[in-house]
Amino acid sequence: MPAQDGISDPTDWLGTPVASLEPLEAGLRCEICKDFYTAPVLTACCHTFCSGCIRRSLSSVNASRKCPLCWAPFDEGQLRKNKIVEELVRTFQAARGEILALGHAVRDDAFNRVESGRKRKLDEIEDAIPLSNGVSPRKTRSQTQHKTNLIQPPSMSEKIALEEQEEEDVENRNEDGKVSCPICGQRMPEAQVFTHLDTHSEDKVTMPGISNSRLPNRTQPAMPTMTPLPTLSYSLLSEMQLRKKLRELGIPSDGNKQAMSRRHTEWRNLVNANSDSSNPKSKPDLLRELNNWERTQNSTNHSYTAKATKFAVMDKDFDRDNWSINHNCDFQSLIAAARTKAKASSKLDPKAPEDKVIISNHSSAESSEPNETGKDPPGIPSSSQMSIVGLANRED
Amino acid sequence: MAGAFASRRLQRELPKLQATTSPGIKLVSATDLQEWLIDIQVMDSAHPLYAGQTYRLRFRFSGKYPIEAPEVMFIRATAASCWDQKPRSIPMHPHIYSNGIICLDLLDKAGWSPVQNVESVSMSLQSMLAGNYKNERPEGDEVFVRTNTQRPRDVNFEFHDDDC
Repeated sequence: MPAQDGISDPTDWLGTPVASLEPLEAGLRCEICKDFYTAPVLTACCHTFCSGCIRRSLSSVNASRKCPLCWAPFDEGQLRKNKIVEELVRTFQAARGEILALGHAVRDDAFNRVESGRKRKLDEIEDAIPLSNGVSPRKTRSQTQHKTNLIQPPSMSEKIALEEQEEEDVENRNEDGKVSCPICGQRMPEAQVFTHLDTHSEDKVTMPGISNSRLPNRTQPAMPTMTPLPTLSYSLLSEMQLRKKLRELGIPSDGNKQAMSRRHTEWRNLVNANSDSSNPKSKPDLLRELNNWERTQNSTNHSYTAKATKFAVMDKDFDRDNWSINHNCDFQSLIAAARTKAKASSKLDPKAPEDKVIISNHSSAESSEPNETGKDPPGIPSSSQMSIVGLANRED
Repeated sequence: MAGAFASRRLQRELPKLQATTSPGIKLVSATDLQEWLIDIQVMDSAHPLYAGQTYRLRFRFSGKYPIEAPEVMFIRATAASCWDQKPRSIPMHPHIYSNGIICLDLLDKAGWSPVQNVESVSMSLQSMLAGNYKNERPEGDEVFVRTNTQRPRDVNFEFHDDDC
């Protein structure tokens, strides 16, 4: 889908003669990823999202099992496939490029007409538009009907399919007052047809008039789909148990417990979203997606830590030694400034500040070497430096 | 594919912001898919606090956007760096700290919804400004600005009122 879709948007319709399709397309897109629905599911509050999107949203730390649109609480288990939406998206996407091209063609043509100032007959323009369905609508339909016909290729349109059916109904009725079943052709009184048809629907035989191409995967046997995975309560599992679980599932089992539980969550989302799709992907495909996800995870995490370092003084795992080495020259210059200041004032009052500096050095527990010379050895523990810096600041 | 997920969504939002935005919202820069700058104005020309002023918002997106909220804050800018040659300051507001960090539930972990987007967040902030007539900073602004070393999204705000 992405290859065909590119970065398409409902606003593509604006400016074409069929701008009214914009809200329709917007309705066929997920509110989370803004893409066409992939394996759409219905929430308990009757909102529709891509299965993958809503599962990711639910399993993220912040969203506490609520619908992103209305905040109604619900559980992942309540998600149900929304088959008709999936079908609508599929058929709309298939027709999208064609209709858009037509829209552009009509618009450009109108533009050219204005440009050249020549008034052409409408028929000529119609001839210029390629009609993929091969129907020449001019002969049978009025101009407005023609337009709707352009927008909806007949094979895609429910409405037209229904029309055809109605026509058939008329044809099926013969002079004997009986009608023939549209499926098996058996003749019966009209009143019995619907009860008779129910027997067919159990056999899942498709009706003539509705193109079979609309219904994918009906006849072909489904791929061996993976069964939906349950949630794991990671806090109750030991690292060993979790690693074993991942190995059983056939996904990478390296990294610490946090990494593994994140990976398992993503895998569960992928597998469960996949099981909502009518064209499920194979396990190797899903493993590739998991691998991609893992790579982007790591890269974003790294960029974050790199960005965050300058605010990290408060962090638990803050590298104190490194910080004191990197900022050593700053500390040294501050200490030097404090010393000169202290000396300057000690000339006025010989007792006070010089002693203070030395006292503060001694009093800090980590510093074992006395500093009578007044020169700090390199690599002195930072806490003593901090206290001097603090002193220097106070004197300012 | 969290990263791809985020960039795909952002690539979809970007042309829309470049083409048309609501009045008073203007995309300033979006050189990559990690940090965007947006200028917002309060459209009320008679507003006692914000009339005629433009403020700059910085959006930072993680690889998990839109599942995770973007980091949004007001930033200062010099007149020379702005398209209209006017400097950007931090708006006075009881929920905006003087370092630009915004205390708004929809930007917080619990209040964020993935259906929000850059434009909707900008509009929310626009209306948050438009609805305010108090010329004041949040309580404890000075202490917070001096001591905060956390990224805005990690700060735990308490949302004790919702009058804006």
